[in-house]
Amino acid sequence: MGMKAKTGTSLYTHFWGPLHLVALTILVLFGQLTLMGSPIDFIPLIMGASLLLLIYFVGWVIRFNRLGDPYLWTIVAMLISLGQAMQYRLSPVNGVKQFNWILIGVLVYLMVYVLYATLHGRFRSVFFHYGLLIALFAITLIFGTEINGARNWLKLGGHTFQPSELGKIVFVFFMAACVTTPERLRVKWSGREIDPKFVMMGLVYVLMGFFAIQREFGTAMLIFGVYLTFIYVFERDILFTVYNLGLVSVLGFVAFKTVSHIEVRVDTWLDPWIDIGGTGYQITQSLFAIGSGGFFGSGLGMGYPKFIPAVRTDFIFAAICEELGILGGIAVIMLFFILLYRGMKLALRIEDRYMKAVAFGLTMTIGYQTFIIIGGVIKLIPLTGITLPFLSYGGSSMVSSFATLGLLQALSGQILRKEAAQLETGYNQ
Amino acid sequence: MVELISMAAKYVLVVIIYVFIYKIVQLIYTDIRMLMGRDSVAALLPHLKLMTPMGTKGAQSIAEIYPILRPESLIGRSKKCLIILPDPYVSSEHVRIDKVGDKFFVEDLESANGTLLNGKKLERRIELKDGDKVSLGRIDLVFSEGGR
Repeated sequence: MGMKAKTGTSLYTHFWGPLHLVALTILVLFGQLTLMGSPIDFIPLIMGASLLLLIYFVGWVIRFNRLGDPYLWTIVAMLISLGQAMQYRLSPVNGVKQFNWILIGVLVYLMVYVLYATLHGRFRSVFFHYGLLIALFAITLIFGTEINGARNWLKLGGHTFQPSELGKIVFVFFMAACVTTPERLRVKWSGREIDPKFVMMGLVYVLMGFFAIQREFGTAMLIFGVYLTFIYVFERDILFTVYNLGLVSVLGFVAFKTVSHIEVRVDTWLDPWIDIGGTGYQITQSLFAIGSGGFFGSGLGMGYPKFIPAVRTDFIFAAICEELGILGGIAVIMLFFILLYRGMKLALRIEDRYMKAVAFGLTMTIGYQTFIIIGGVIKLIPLTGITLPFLSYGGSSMVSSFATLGLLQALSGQILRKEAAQLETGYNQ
Repeated sequence: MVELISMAAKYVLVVIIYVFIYKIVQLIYTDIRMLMGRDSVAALLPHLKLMTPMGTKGAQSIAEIYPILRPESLIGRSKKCLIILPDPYVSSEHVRIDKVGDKFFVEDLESANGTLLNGKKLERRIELKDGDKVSLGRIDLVFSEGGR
C-alpha cells in the first residue's frame, strides 16, 4: 500500500478511499438527523441512503468512463453531504426540496459534461456571449418578478429562477473570448482606432451597471473580481489593472454616497453593534452563532442557527460554524481550497488558450463567490447577498454550481485527453 | 440519549472530514510529483513507468514514461523494441504488451531470466491492471491506465 502510493500510479488508483470517507460522513450526519425526530424520522434515513447511492453511482460513472479528474466529484460530494444535512436540519420541508435540486444538479452536471465535450470547439465569438448576457438582462427586466426588493427573478411554471446565476457562467466565456481574440473588438471611432482592451472595459462596465440596476451588487462585485483577475493574468499591461482598480474604487465611493442600500451595508459592516435590533441584526446574529459554536460546535441540531435571518441561503456558513464548530467551518473553506487547486491545475494543463481561459475563469468564479459570501458572513468585508456554491439553499444556485463543475469536468476529461493524444501523435510522426 | 450521540458525533465528524482532506492533499502531493515526471502529457494516455530506486528503503521514483499506443509493444534489449532496456539480465525480446481495444495484455517471450508480474512469475498471457508492476531482470515497469 505504502509502496504503491510512492510509485504514483494513475489518478484513479486511490479513488474510492476518500469516497468511503464521504459515505461515513453521510452515515454520521443522517444517522443523527434520523434519531433526532421523535418518533424516529425516516425521511433523513431515506435521503441519506439515496445520497449514498448517488455519490457512489456518479463516482462509478466517472471512474468507469474515465471522465477526467475524479477529485472534483469527491470534493463536491463532501460539500453537498454537509450542505444537505444542514438544510434538512434547518427546515425539513426545504431540505426535501433541496434534495430534489441536488438530483437535478447532478443531472445537469453530467449533461453539461457531454454537451461541452462535443461542442467545445464552437460558440467562441465575443459578441455571441455578450448578446446572450444582454438578452438575459432584457428578459429579466421585462418578465422578471420582484423578490426581496430585487427584480432579478424569473417565474417558470411554479419555480423561480435567477438568470444572473447563468449570467456569471456566460460572463466567463465572454471574458475568455475577449482575452484570446482581442482583434474582434477593434472599433474605429472618428478616424482613430481604439485599443481593444478599452472596448472590453466599456462592455464589462456596462454589464456591471446592469447588475447594479437589478440591485445585484454581489454579482456585480463577483464579475468585477473575475474581470480584474482576467486582465491581470492575460493583459501585459499591469497599469491597466491598476487603472481599473482605481476607477472602480471611485465608482464604488459614488455608489456608497448615492445608493442608500449600499451605505447601510457598509455602515453595518463598520459597526453592526449600533443598531443590533435593526440593520445590524443579521450580521450580529451570525457572529453570535459562530462565536457560540466554539471549536467543535454545539453538535448537529443542538444549536440555535434559526435566529439568523436568511440562514438557509446566505448565512449557511454561520449555521455550519455554530453546529459543526470553527473546525467544521475551516474544513469547508479547505474543501473549497482544494477544489480551486484542481481547477487551477487544470487551467495550467490545457493547451488551447480559449479553454485555458474558460477553466481559469470558472475556477475564479467559484473562488470569488466563496470569498465574497464567507467574508460577508464573518464580517471581513461588507455583506452582499450571494450564495455559497453547493451549500446554500436554492435551485438556481445549485444548478449553476453543478453546471460550472460539469464544464470543468469536461475540460479535464475528454477534451484534455484528446489534446494529449494529438500532441503524442505529433511527436511520433 | 440523542444529546449524547450528538456530542460524540460532532467529534467523530470533525475527525472524518479532516482525514478526508488529508487524503485528498496526499493524493494531490503524489500528483504534483507525478507532474514533475518528464512527459506529463504522456501520463494522460495508458503508459508504462520506468522506476528507479531512490534512497535505501525500497522507495522508487519515476525515471521515464512510455505511452503505449500501438497494438503490439516489444520490450527488450534489441533495437527493434519500442522500449529498449540495456540491461544484461534482459533478453533481446523479453516481453510483449498487446493492446486489444481498451485492454492491455502482457506476455513473456520465453526470456532467459523470466518476467515477474507483481512479484509472481509470469507464465501465460495476463491482462494488465492499473498499478501492476512488471519486473524484467533488475528493472521495474509500472503500468498505468493514464487518465489525466
